[in-house]
Order: sequence, then structure tokens, then C-alpha cells
Amino acid sequence: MRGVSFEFEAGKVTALLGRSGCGKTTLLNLCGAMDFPTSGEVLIAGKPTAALGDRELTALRRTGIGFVFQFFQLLPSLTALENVELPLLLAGAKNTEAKALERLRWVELEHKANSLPWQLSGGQMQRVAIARALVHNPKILVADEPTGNLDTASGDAILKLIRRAASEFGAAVIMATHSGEAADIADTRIRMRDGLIQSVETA
Amino acid sequence: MILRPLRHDLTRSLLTLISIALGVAVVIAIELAGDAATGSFQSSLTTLVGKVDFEITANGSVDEQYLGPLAGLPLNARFAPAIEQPVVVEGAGSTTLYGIDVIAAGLEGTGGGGEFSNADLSTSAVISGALATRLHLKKDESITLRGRKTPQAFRIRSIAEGQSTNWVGIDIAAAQKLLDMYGRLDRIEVFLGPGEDVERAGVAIRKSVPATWDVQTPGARSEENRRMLRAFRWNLRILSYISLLVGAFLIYNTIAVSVVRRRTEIGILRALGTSSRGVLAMFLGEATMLGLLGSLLGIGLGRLLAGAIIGMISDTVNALFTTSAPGSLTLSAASVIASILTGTGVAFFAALIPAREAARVAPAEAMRRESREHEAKLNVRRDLILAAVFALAAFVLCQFGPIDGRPVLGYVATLSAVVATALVSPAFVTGVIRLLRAPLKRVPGAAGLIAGRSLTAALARTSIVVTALATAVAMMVAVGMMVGSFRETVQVWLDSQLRAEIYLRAAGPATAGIYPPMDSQVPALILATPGVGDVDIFHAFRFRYEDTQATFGAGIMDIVRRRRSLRFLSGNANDILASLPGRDNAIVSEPFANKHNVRQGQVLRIPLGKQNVALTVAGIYYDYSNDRGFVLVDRGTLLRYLPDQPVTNIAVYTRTGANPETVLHGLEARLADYPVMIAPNEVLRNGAIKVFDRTFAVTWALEAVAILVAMLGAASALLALVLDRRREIGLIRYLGAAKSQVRNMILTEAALLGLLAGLLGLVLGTALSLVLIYVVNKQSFGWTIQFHPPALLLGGALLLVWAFTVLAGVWPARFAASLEPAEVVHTE
Repeated sequence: MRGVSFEFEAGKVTALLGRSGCGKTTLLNLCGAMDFPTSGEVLIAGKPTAALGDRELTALRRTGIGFVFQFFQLLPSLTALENVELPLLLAGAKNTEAKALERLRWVELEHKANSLPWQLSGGQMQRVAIARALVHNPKILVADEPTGNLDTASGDAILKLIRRAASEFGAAVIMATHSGEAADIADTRIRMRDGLIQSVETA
Repeated sequence: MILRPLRHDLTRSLLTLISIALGVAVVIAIELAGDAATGSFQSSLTTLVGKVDFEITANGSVDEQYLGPLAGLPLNARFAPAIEQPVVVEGAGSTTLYGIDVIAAGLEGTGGGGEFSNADLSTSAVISGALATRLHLKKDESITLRGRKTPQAFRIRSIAEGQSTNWVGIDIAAAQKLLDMYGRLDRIEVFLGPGEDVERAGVAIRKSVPATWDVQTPGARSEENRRMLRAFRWNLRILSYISLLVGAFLIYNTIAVSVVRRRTEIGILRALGTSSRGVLAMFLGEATMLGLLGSLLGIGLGRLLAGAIIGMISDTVNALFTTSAPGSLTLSAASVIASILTGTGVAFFAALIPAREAARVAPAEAMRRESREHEAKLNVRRDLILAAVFALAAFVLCQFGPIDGRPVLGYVATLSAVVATALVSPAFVTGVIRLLRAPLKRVPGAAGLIAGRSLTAALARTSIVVTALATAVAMMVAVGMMVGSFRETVQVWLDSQLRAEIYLRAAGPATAGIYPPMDSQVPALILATPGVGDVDIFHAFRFRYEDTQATFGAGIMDIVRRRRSLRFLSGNANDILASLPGRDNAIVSEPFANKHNVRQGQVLRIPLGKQNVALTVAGIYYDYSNDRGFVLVDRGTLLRYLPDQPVTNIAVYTRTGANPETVLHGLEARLADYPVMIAPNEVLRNGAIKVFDRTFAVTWALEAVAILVAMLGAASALLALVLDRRREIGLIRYLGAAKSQVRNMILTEAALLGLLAGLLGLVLGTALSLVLIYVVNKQSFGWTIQFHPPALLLGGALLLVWAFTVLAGVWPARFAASLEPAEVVHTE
């Protein structure tokens, strides 16, 4: 990626659009502090990510960032509730089960708390994944093609949840997508091509 | 298609290779060292006098007077007197003395070239190269030997080079004088001339000696020794197969993992037209390749290992069975081929199940995107029922007797119990992890939660690894319990047996079945020592009964009755022992009774001197000194039939009030001129326990290898679990896991595996120890061991194994922590 300079705002949804290989996922990983620029800076809450040590990065991911993936990426051996609870457990938080249950309720899957991933539909799995990404009230929600593997109805429900995540939790949502419907819910649309920002549209 | 995946997964291929290599190495090492340790029964005398056709022996000793009539037989044969006894070299311990007829053997010379000189036949000696090296002796130097009382110097006329055992050869007359054996021989050796018919000669010789004497070919003696050692060697052999069995579980695991990983690849191959048979061949080829390479590596390793353990095995053989000097290790073409076939065969059959699973992959799998966990079809309920059947079979098999003197069914029962455990394993893993759910959740940072779940998620694989580890642990536990119980039993037995304060025997090596005689003056000298109370005078000698060797002994039964507390299988000890003096009654040891199916009240016909004496068995007593067995009579009874039988052991009970130490010093002073060993009670007792511990050293060494193989397996299995869950591990890093948390997670998995294997191994091991104690040992050696599990030792060992399993997880854990999350989540 070259010459990318952009600011993501809290409470707003930003969609990254473009063909496969244009750099969307790389940009997402940079924003999620999972990857680092060879030159230039990624600042999260004013701090450059490249300057952070492994410990601070882990702490940042535990408190500040949530991830949603195209293929849901739930741990197959854990129940829905346990999957949601996992980030809290990793962070050593207290009262994890109640908090996780609350997020599951938020995505309207409280009744599936004890189901294993294979017992859920694709849409349900992605809702569990969103609950997991939001369980620790992150400032940034990174979503990579969240509707890419879903039918239209399920995709719509997911997009509504993502929109609500920005407004209700005040998270800066950064979403890579191919779909027009997904782009429609965004406050800002960034079109990318071959590692460059082609255009920025604000609704 | 076979080599690439092996190379691609180099670390795991190597781990599996090493496990197979170790398994094969242990098997071959035990075989080689066993052969070498037991293969050299042929007396070194053969090198001095040539090949012997017959040996004439008798219980007690052979009367020299028969040489004349034998020589008069119309046979083309030469009859040579021989003595083979331990003797003390002044200032240098003991060695074997051979007395031979130097003139008849044609070893004499007229000075210069010959081995012996006619002039001083009575003072000439030939010694083996090994003894010369040990004592730094050269030709024409002098060596002083001590037989019964007076030491005598001999001039070394020749050194027999290339002789690996220690011995001295002197003329027969000089040997008889030195050992106080006038007119008596250990055996007469028969050399047949060319053209003489062996059968005819045998018949003629048997006719001209007393019917109670034995006329055997020397091969028969070696054969007897081999037969005696068979049970011992079989038990070692079976133990060595355990490592191979553990290796088999690991091959299974490796191939199963390979199948899971390459599902898509298999699908593509199938879509491109490869038959399912072709896929089967591909995976069996992979396993066979591992087996072949592992076996080749194992053969080299086994040869090295054999060198290391041969000493331990010959120690055991000497202590428990018979005297033998370790021969050379020879790796025959047959054993090389057998090892390759065994190693490769084990790998092939272990891979059969996962390879068949691979062959069933449908071409459509090529299109599947997400990687699938290894989900071998597990039918827990069916497996539990089968497990119960196998366990029941094991129990039933234990109820039968030995086959051809070997506890064959006991071994099958052991295998059956291992199979039952393998079948129980999945249910056991699920059950225990479910029980641990609450405590696991308390392991900080979700490590416990994920670790527990991922083990149950890959249940088929987890159960195999747990079974492999548990089998190794079970063997350790079983052998530990058996040896511990045996040791405790022997200790209790020693306490009841060694009641005298002081023990004496002729100086010489303490080897089972060899009873060097003492000078006939010794008992009288002891009785005259102040402070001495009862003196139990014991005569022991080797004899043959139903073609196996045993020991015949005679002591003063009245003293035995009053002083010792012999325990009998049934009947009142006092009454039994009181029935011995003055009557042709005998008591036999438990191993003797078991070996020969002897019951109380039965009559044994035992040749003593020229008579076949009918001895009534008054009782069967517990004994753990050796497995060849004892027949004991009262001293008076023995002397009635064999008046010249020398004394071999003496037990001295001090008078009440006398200081045992003073008595000991008194005896030492009085017997200073005699080559006897005088030992206080605790020296003898400690010596016995030391021999016991040395005997089981090789057993422990085998255990260690089995555990090592299992550890390698644990490391390999954990690595496989990590590799298969790369995506999952990357993901939890996304969710905020620190590297240390990932490490802890894998270490927790290792700890859980260790715990599961430890628990299962403990249960299986306890069951196997009962089989070892009450079936295998009883049928092999004939003794009853009381069950005394060494709790502390076992607890420590289990903890150690558990710690090692966690240690085996360190490397996979570090590997997991080093994975780049962004890479693995998006590429997988």
C-alpha cells in the first residue's frame, strides 16, 4: 500500500471497497494492529502501533479492538457463549459469563448460548462472532467481508448489527466488503485499487 | 507422493522415525545381549582338551575307580578325568580351576615346545589370557592357589591367548591334592576316536557305570541351561516388545494426522482418477517407509545398546541361574532381516486403519474449503462393550496354566488388557475432561478451557496418544509393582530365613548352582570356638531331576526347626520338620514343586551315590533364593547315602549372652588358614538384596526406553495438534491472547495428556502387575509373590513421567506461540 492517509472516527462506519488483492485486508490488519507499515505510521488513540511492544499490543487488542471475519472463525470446540466469553477470559476479566450472555442477548441469540458452532446457521454464527467482537466494548471494530459468506437476509441482519455497533457502542467500524448493500450502510466509502485510495465518498 | 510429505513434515517424521528406531533397537538389543550372555555355556575346558563327545557325571561326585573299567571297554575312545571347581588365587580373588589329565590330553612336552613339562607336572599351570591380563602375570612366573587349606604355588607354563574367561588349568592329580578330592572327580570326559559309533559307545558306557550316573553329550548340558533360561529370556523379550507397541500407536497417529492434512489433496487425486486402492497404497507406503528407515536406524542403535546392557543381563544370569561368561555380540543376517520385518510390519499394520480412512475420501472433498478435524468414526458405546469383552478375556486367560512351561496365556492376557484400555480410552478422556470442566475454567487466561476442549474435539487422536502413553506408564507401574512386591516378599523371607548370626561358605564367587566345598575340618573348628551355640551344617550340590537342574541339600533339621521359621504352603512347620531326621523324608521348595508338579506326600526317586533313593515329600516351603528349586533332607539321611559329601555352607547361632562380634573374630582367627568366607548376618542380607536389585537393573533400563519412546510420541502428538490448529491459535491471538497464553494453553494440553495417561496407566498397570505377579512370574519361576505395591516409589515415578510429558510440550508450545496470527488466519 502506498500514499494512504485517512482518519477513522468513533461512532462511524467506514467501508473499504475494491477488488480482491487491492489491499483491503492489509489495511484492516494495519488498523487492527495485526500488521505494521514498512514506512509511515498507524496511530491508534494517538499512539503509533509500530512503537508498541508485544505486551502493549496484546493489551490493545484485549481492550480496544474487535474482529469479525468472513468465515466467522468461531472455535469449533467451544459453545456460542464460551466463544463470546473468550476475549474476556483471555483478558482476565471478571464476571465474564454474565457479560458474554448480555452480548448474546444483544444479537438475539441468548437461546443458543449452549449450542456448538456446527449446530448454528451461517447467519447465527456471524452474529455470535459480532457478539464476541463487541463483548469488551472495543473502540475499533474491524470486519473483513462480514456478509461475504451469507445469504441476503442473513447479510442484512448482520449489517444492521454492525450499524448499531457504531451508534450504540461508539466504535469506529472499519469494514472491507464487495457488496453494495454493505457499502450502503457506511458513513464513509473508500474505494481502493492496487494499494492506493482511489476515492473517498462521505454520505 | 510418499517421500515429499515425509520431507515436508520433517520434524514429525523424524520423531516417528526415532520412536520406531528405539522400539526396534530395544528388541534387537535384548535379543543380542541375551544370546551373548547365555550362549557361552560351553566350558572353556574345550579349548584345552578339544571337543568332548560324552560327559559322565553323578550326584555328589564321580568315583575315580570307574576310569579303569571304562578304559577297558572295547571302544575306540579315550576317557579323561576332569575337575572344574572355583579356587582362590592368593591375593587376587577367585577363579575357575580345571584339573585335567595332562599326559592323556597330550599336553605334556619334554621342555620347550609343550604346554607342561614332565619334570614338574605337579607344579605346572596353564592360565587363560584374560586371567593373565587381570593379574598381570607372564609366562614362567608363579601363581599361588588355595584349594581347601594349604596354598600351593604353580609355575605358569603357558598362557592360552584369546580366552575371555578367567581360569587356571593344572594336572588332575595336583588338582585332587589341592582340593582335597582324592579319588573323586567332577566328571569323566569321553573322546571318541575316528569311526566310533556314538550310539554304540553311549550304550556301552551307560552299562559300565552305576545306573544313577548321567551320561550326556555336552550339548545336552547347554540345552538344559538354555531351557532353564528360557522363561527369563521370554519375559525380557516380551518387555522389549512394549516399546515397539508404543511405537505402533505413534505410527498410527502420524499417518492419521497425515490423512487429515492431506484430505483436499486426496480429494484432488481421486478427482483426477486415482483409485481408492492407490490412495491406500500411498499411505501404507508412507508408513512402510518410516518403518523401514526406523528399523535400519534401530539395528545400529540396538547393537550399541546391546553392548551397554550385556553386563546387566549376564549379572542376572549368574546371580539367578548358572555361571556363564558373556560371549561376543554377533549380529546375524537372520536377526537383521527379522528386525527389519518386525519394524516395517508393525508400521504397516499400525497404518492400516488411518490409510483405509484415507481410501474412503470422496473426490468431492477436493472442493471443501475449511480444514476438517480428524473425525475417525468413534462409537464409544460399542467400544466400551468390546473393552469389557477383552477385559473379561484377559481375566479368563489368567485362570489357565502354562503352555510348554511358558506363561503364554498370561502374555496374551496382557495384550488383551492393553486392547481393552485402548477401547476404553475415548470414553475415559471425555469423562475425565467433563469432570475437570469446572477446575479447568479456573486456569487463568482461558488456557484451561481451550486445552480441555481441543483434546475432546480431536478425540480419536487424543485417545490414541493417551493409550500409547498409558501403555508405557502401565508397564512402568506394573513392573514397578511386581519388582517392589517381589523385593518386599524377599525381604520378609530373608528376615525369617537368616536367623543365624554368622554364615560361612567356601571362598569363591557367589553363583547360583555352584557350591564349592569346605575343608572337612572346618565344622569341628567352629564347634570348638567359644560362644558358638547351634551350628547348622549344610551340604548342597547340583543334581538333575526330570531333565532340569535343581539343588539337593541337607541340613540339621532339628536346628532348622528350632531356629528358623520356614513357611510351608500347608501343614504345621514344626511337625513337618520334625518328621525329617532318621527318615527318608524331604521337603521341597515352591519353585521345585511347581516346576515338577510335586505334591505333599508324593515320593521322589532321586539317585544318591549308587542308589535310587525314594524320598517322601513331607512339605513344600516358600523359597526365593533361586528358581531351579531345592530338595532338602536331614543331614543324617544324606550322609547315610553319600558319606563323603563335603560341607558347603554353615550357619552359626551364637550362645545367648555371647557377643556375636567376639564370636566372629574368634572364628576368623581359628579359620585363618582355610579359604572360607565368614559373613555376619547383615552382610549376607544386604548382599542378597544387592543381587536382587542388580537382577532387575535391565528391567528398569527397558522401562526407561519405553517411557522415552512415549515421551517422543507425546511431543510429536502435541506438535500435530498445534499444526492442525494453526488457524485457531492465530485466531485467539486476534482475540487478545498474549504469546505466553498460547504457550500456557499448549502446556496445559500436555499436562492434561500426562494426567489422563497417568491415570489410565495406573489402572491398567495395577491390573497388569497382578498378571505379572500371579500368572507370569508364578508360571515362569514358580514362586508366590505377596502383593506389596511400593506406593512412594510409584507416586514419584508417575509424577516424573507427568513432568516429562509437560516438558515434551515445551517445544510445541514455543512453536505455537511463534506463529504469525495474520498469516495463519488468512491463509488457512
